[in-house]
Amino acid sequence: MKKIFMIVALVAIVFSAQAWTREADHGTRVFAREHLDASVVKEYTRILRLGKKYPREKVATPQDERWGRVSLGTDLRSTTTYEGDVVVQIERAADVLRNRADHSEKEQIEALRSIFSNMILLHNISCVSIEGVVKSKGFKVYTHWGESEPKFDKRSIRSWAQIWGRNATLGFYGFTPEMFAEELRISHGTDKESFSAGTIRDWAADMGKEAAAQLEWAEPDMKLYKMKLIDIEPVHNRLMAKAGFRLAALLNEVLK
Amino acid sequence: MNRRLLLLALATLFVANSAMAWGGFGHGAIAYVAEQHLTPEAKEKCRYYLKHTLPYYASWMDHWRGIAKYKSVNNPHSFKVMPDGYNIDWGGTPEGRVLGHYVNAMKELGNGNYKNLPDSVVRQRLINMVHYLPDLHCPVHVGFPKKEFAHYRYNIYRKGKKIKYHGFWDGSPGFTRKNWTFERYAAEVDKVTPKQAKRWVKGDIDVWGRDIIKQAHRCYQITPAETDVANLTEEQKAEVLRLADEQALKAAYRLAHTLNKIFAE
Repeated sequence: MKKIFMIVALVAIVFSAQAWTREADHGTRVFAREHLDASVVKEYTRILRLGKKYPREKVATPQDERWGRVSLGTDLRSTTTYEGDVVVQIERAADVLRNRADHSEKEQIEALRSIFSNMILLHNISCVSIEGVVKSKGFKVYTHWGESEPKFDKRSIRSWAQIWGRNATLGFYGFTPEMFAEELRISHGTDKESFSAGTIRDWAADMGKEAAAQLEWAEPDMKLYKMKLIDIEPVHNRLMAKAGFRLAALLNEVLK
Repeated sequence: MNRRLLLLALATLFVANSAMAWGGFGHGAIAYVAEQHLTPEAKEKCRYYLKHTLPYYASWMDHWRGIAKYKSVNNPHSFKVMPDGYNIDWGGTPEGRVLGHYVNAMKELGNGNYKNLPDSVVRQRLINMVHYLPDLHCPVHVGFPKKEFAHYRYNIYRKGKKIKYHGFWDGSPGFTRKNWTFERYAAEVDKVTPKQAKRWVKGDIDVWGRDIIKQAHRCYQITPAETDVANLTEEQKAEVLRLADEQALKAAYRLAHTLNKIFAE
């Protein structure tokens, strides 16, 4: 039984790349939906419904380590124009929706999907790469989550992405997306204005500060005890709230 | 994609449930039901101190029980019974200590005393309460003495393979209920009448404890020695769920009653 679990867990480690959980991702969108202006809800719903007409297509992503990441300079600002960068993808998708009259229905729903997924990636600490900070691109740590004597062997390896993925949403076990949204409402309902202010590039810079703060204590191959997850928990919750508020702010702007 | 999700789900299930009394689903469902029965004042106060809902902290003490910071509250999440098999063994530490935590928490927080405490202390007491009070209601968290109740120590099986008796009953609220959410549990299972609820919350922790002990005996009759849970009849499965739901709902109503009492204006 132990062997089967190890195989399953190892495979899970490999596959659980950079997502929060599906419920957390969806919960962030449910939370954002609560903060859409009344004037854009109709348009938002119209485009969302196009998802049934135009199912998601599998697209091969280039073999480029920068793809799907938020690349920041040493000053923590995003100035890139690389098409695979998360910030650039959000900006391009926002442009499509802003000028949706000039774009097909398929392009509109694809743009909305791109905004959904990339806003989550933008607010995932492990997706932020800072120039000159090699470890920001990812590394492994040795964890001890249990109560027994720590072993710190191969089985205890976790990636930086995993720490900011499923592990960070431990408190939300069994939650529906609606329950996620309620949690964010309770814990960060008063932060709407401060979190939503700024442009997409400002938000990226803010994530640079968040990532830099977490990278200060983290080192490749470090021994990470479960206690640290308690410190991470409120950070992750704050980032989900930021993602939700900013998603709403962006959609309110592009869909008006 | 489906295979990936299945593997992730399996890993999640194992990790999330391996150390949890009632199981993560049971605790979350109990906390969810409890929250539906909070007064507006209690709900507001709980959210003020916790900055989250009750379900968020339902399994928290199971997640963090092993770390040094919580060693003082990490004792078996159960309590001991006197040799007569019906009364709480209050002197039976460390198992008795979880009940002691409840009593102390009520002294600290009750009668408006919570207002004199730092927010962080109130928060931690609430987090403990949200988890421990439901734990006490789990039938296998009732520690019958080994000598007098040696016949309560036996094996049960699933498809011929030995499984942990404790683990089976810990997960009982979710037994046969694949993919249930907490909301669904509340909607389909919480059919408690006001009269029944009033009866359940009557008395103090000693009264509740004796009731819990009385119900705990039932689990050893429902799944006796050598039971293979994969071969339970529909009637037997219904019996498992009847006991599990009764205890889970009692836990929820008593938790709500406790919090309503603490934060009554």
